[in-house]
Amino acid sequence: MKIRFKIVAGFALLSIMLAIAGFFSIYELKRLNLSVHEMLEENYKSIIASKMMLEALEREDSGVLLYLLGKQSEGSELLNQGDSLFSSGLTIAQNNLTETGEDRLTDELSENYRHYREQAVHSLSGISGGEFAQWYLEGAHRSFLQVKKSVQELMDMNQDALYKGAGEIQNRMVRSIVPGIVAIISSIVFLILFNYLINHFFISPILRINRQLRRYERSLGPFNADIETRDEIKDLESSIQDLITRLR
Amino acid sequence: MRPTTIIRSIANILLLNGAFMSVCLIVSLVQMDDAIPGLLFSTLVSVILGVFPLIYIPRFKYLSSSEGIQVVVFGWLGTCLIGALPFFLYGGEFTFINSLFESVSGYTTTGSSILTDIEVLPRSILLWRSTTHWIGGIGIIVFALLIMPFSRHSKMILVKTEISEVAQRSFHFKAGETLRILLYIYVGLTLLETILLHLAGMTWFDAVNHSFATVATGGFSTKNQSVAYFDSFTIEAIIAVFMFLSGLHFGLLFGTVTGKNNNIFHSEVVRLFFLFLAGGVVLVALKLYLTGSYDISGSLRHSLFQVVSLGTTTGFATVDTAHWPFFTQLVLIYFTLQCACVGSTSGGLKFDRMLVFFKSLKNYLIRIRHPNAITVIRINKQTVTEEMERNIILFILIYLFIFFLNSLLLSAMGIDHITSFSASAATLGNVGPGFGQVSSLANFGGLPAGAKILLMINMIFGRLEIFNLITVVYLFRKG
Repeated sequence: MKIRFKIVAGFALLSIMLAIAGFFSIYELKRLNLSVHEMLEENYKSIIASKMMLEALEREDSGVLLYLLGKQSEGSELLNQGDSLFSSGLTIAQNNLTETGEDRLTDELSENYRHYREQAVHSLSGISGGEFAQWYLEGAHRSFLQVKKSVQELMDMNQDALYKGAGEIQNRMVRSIVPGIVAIISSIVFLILFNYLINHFFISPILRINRQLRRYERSLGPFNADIETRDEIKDLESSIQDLITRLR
Repeated sequence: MRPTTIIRSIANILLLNGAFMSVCLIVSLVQMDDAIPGLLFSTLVSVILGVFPLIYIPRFKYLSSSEGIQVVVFGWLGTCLIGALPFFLYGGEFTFINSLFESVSGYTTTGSSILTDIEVLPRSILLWRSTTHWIGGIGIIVFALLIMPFSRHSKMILVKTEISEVAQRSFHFKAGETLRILLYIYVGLTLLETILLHLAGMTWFDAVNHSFATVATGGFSTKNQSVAYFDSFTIEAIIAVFMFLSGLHFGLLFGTVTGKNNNIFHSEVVRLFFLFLAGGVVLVALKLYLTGSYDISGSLRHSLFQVVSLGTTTGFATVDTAHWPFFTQLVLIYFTLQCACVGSTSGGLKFDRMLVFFKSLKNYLIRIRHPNAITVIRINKQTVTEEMERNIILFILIYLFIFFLNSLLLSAMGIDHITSFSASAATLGNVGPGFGQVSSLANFGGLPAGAKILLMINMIFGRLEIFNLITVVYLFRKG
């Protein structure tokens, strides 16, 4: 093989290794970026929506209690605010289905909320003074707890996914760093090897040829640089030998 | 010493590793799993480090003995290092030390794992784990000699270095022929076991992985519960038979298949090895039955599988032996130390050496009573020379010294005595599981990093049969 090919091959292989390591690091970093984005966009959005729904439910529950205590206008206002907030939260959650089973949970939540509104809010005006406590504890509050449980389940699901996602991100971070480390170490090994082989197969033979030539110049002794490879250096040795033979 | 010849030989070995890695890469690409970048990059590093020296260094015809030893030792070390890359790049439970541990354990066919959950790994990584066993079982050097271009003289030197002196006694062939026989038997056993395991109910993937691990006497499984997961007597029986066969001298197996006289039925070593294993099975089964651990069939079934598994250095499990009576654990530790026959894929002391040791002891007792008696040791009707006898006894002594030293060092790291003792025996003998913290269904992940490094050195000592590693250190000291 020609010297030029050997040297180019050395640098080409080194470049390929570094380029691929770089490519993988960038690829993993991009995936890492995507994971963070996904996590914030998908899971965190649903968690915020769940928090909104919990806040809305608390407002509606307070509204019901105020209504029952005779403060009907304040109660109605709170009930309307709560309903509007809950609907916004539910819409966000329904438009952000990212986990398996999340659609089932949001459907269940919507159904439970509809039931709560029917039982607690719509029948509120027909309750007479003495039935207030029993009606609230057995009907409205139970439905309220049921909806709250559904919201909590949705939030837990997204929090679990967020936790899992964080683990995945940590793993991706390692994966984006490791190829770089491996490439650096492999390149160092490769360079040491490259340096050794260049010394052994190119520099040492040239020095040997030089030494042999000087020896020949001094004593006209035999010329033999003992070149192992079959490349331009071997050709050079053969040419010098031919020249010496002709000079003799 | 010519470093270039050593580098060129090791480059061939790395290239071969790259070829095996590329098969796992194809699996990864088909499955589109998470291991694609890691496997692709590992394959490239392996191929680049393998191809580069081949471009520069011209072919050579001769290899000296000391060069041969260095090729074997550095070839194994380089292979273990490169083999750890797919694990390290995959991440998860694979930290650098854990990846190296898994790789060394795989190539040396030890089968000790650091993984707490094997089943979450992608198929390509599971296949790579089993492949390290399969490459290491017959020996990466032997594989390289079979596939890569080496001169006849180099082959002879490397076969002499890689295959122990005792094992070569039953190979009455030239180096090239010996290598071919090893390959035929190895591939034949693997194919046959894969088909039988599939017929017994395993998926093709599990069958291939388990047969790789059985024939290499490794022990890596694709399931957290090892062979216990399948809960099938047929599967256990097939694996037990193949573990036993893989623990025998491959030259004798070849003789048996081809109808030669030099076969397993005429071998004194095989006969005695079988009797020892049978004795172990009976002892363990009796103790298990008498202590009420299992009924009679359960005692026999589990005893047979565990004794054959540890006695052949495989390390598969059907139960967690950590809960077995102490007596049965001691019997299993004996088999962990004794190991299987020379010329097989198993590691450790080897039964043939133990036999020479016992016969040497017997002759010594005869000579005490009759000082002028001329005593000769014969194994399979062949005389064991005094030099070989001396080497074997020296090997056993160094082996036991390393075993005790390691147990001591592990204890000094705060590891309990049963774990230290059994982990040291299990890794030096390339068996795999021990007792205590590292029992058959547990793992080595909880051990400190220092202990893992020590156990890795143990595994390499066990696989390279101690003397090669010592010789390299000696050569370097002498410069």
